[in-house]
Amino acid sequence: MADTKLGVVETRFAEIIWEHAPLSSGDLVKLCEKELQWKKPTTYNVLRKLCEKGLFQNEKGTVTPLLSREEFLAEKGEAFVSETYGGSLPAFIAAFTKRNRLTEEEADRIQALIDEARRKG
Amino acid sequence: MEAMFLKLLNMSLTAGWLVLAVIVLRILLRRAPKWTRCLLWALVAVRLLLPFSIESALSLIPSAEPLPQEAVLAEHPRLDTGIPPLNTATAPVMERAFAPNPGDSVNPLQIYTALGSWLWLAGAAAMLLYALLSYLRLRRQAAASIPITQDSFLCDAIDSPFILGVLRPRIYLPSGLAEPQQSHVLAHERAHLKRRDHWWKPLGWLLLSVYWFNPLLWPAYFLFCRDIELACDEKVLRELTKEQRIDYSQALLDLARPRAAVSACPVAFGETGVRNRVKSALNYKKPAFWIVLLAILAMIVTAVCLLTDPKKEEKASQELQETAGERGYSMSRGPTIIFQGDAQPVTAPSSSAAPTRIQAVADALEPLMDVSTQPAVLVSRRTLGGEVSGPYPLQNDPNLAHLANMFLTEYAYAGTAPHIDGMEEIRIECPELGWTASAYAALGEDTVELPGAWYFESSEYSGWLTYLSDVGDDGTFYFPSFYGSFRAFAFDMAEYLSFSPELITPNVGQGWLAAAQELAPHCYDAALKVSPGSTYGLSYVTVTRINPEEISEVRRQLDGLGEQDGEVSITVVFVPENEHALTLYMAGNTIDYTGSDPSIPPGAYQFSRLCSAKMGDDGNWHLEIMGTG
Repeated sequence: MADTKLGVVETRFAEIIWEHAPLSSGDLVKLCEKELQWKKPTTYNVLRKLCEKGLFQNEKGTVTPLLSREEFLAEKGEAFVSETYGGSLPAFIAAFTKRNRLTEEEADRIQALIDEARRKG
Repeated sequence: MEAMFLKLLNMSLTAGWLVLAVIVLRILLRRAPKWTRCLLWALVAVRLLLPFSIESALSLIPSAEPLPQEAVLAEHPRLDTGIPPLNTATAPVMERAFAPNPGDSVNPLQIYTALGSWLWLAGAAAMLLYALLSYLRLRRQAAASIPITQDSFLCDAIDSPFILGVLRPRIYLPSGLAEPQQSHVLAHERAHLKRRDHWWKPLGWLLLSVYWFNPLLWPAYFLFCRDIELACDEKVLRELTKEQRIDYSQALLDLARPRAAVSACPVAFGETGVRNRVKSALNYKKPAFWIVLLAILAMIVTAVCLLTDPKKEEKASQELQETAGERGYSMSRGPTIIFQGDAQPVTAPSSSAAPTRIQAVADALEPLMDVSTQPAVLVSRRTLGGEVSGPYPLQNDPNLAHLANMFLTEYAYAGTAPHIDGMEEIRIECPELGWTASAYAALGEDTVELPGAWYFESSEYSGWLTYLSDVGDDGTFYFPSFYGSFRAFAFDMAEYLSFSPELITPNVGQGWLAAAQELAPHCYDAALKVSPGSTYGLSYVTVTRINPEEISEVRRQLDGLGEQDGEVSITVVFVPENEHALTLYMAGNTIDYTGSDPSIPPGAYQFSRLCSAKMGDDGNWHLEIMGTG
């Protein structure tokens, strides 16, 4: 059973493979470079990840789907789950917000504030 | 590196006051627009970045140098916090912990500063390395992304939007954002770019890395980060309708809301961040004009009072005095000489035109030439313009440039010389003794002030000789007379050195102690030979005690002693020939003579010194006076 939870970027990458499969990994690198502006290691990294998920296989330099696009869509449950990287964002990065700092309760309290503003608005 | 470390330590301590002020102002001005807070933090950054400081009479910083550089070498290290009770309170602690042990050649503070500076370097390197590694990791994670616009990208592997890159910044958004969220987040990140936050934040981190040892700067950095976000929110909110602001708040919350999968974490202090931002967004009002004005005024006052250092006045003269001690006498650390009686302004005829004024300098110098055995000659004089400048190394030497500035500014401050026309270069040569000395004098309407610093060149010593200046009871700013500054440091020293025997004896297998015992009695012979009135003049001197010193391996290395070498402490009993000599030899550990030897004349003093006996490459034993011991 393949793990079918994919992010937007992974889906886009998978689409490229489905569209051209079977294709050589070298061609995939070129395609990704053209369409996604990816460097070679990035393509291999994502490909390796999707192979681990059981979506594709990369044997002797040829990439083939183990799951067709249709099968994938059928199995797809939740839209996506993004993977968090370890710790929080390094402090020197300008970011919209830091994640995973709120407790459920605190989040609900803030939500109440927003809801109240909406009611009044 | 130790000097740099001390400099940074002092800079961070003075910046601490500014940080405290900014934290207080943040609270007082909480209704002001948030960009004013960012400007306040910018003041802190400027303070931390500027290696020099602007002096102002309005400065509220108690002391520009709480841990004086000189304290490291001082016999009685002291703090100079600018708060007298604090200085007094810490003095016994400083004394106990850091005062040099008589006999040791390295002060404890020197060791602590050396250790401290390595520790500092390691900490700073670690923080910068952390930044670099985090950056590389993020860049790797963000590589698998697809562009949505020119400057923004979608990425699966992140769950918080951020900007990466300094020169070509790119916005990365987590791929799971729904539409209204995405445009708000993008607007926020674009506002960051417009505000150049992707520069200011790394700059903040860089400063924190350099000043990591200052605990005040950590909260400062985190508050700064929060203020950046608030100011950025504000910039976005300005353009939004009330409805859109609520959506914006929702986006903030959604991105901070824990996923179901994440177990509830213990109360994290970060949560107030989102709550405050949501509240600010919901309550956003265009800030009132008066509060903006108030914030700007507060900022200007803060800049004037806390970005500047207190004026130096006495501090400077203290420094000069210490420089004089160190430079004039390399044999022992820090004797300071003050010729109170000699500080006299030289007054020229009031109707003087420029040539007469030059004559006045010569006239003033002439009687003083009599004290030397070989008359010195005034060889060149040049009047400089009102600005302190000249072809001579004046501008290259911070000591003299500083002193020359004092001529012009401090004198006017004291109010006795309403006008100073310029500076005059004086050059004196004494070919018989092989030295020349150059200096500048300040020229006023009807006064000529003699210089407080000379550039002295001889075979024995070349360098600046500075001298204490003094403000008299009547408020007149005195510079030392020729005698005080020049005779003591230039002529007397040259003469003393020319009479000083080289303390060497051939090695005949006698060992270091025997060599030291042979040489030590002659250490101060020259003091009996110098001209009457010399700063070095003694009428009686004898070495009463020569004791071998036990020295540790560490000190042996620090003092550069070989295995065959050793150190002795000597006790010297002397009678100064004149008042100036008394002042010179009174420094350090000098006390009244305590012995009962009837051959020693009454009124004698004694001090002890540490001497090293080293085997030289020339096959001779050399005795060197090293310092108090």
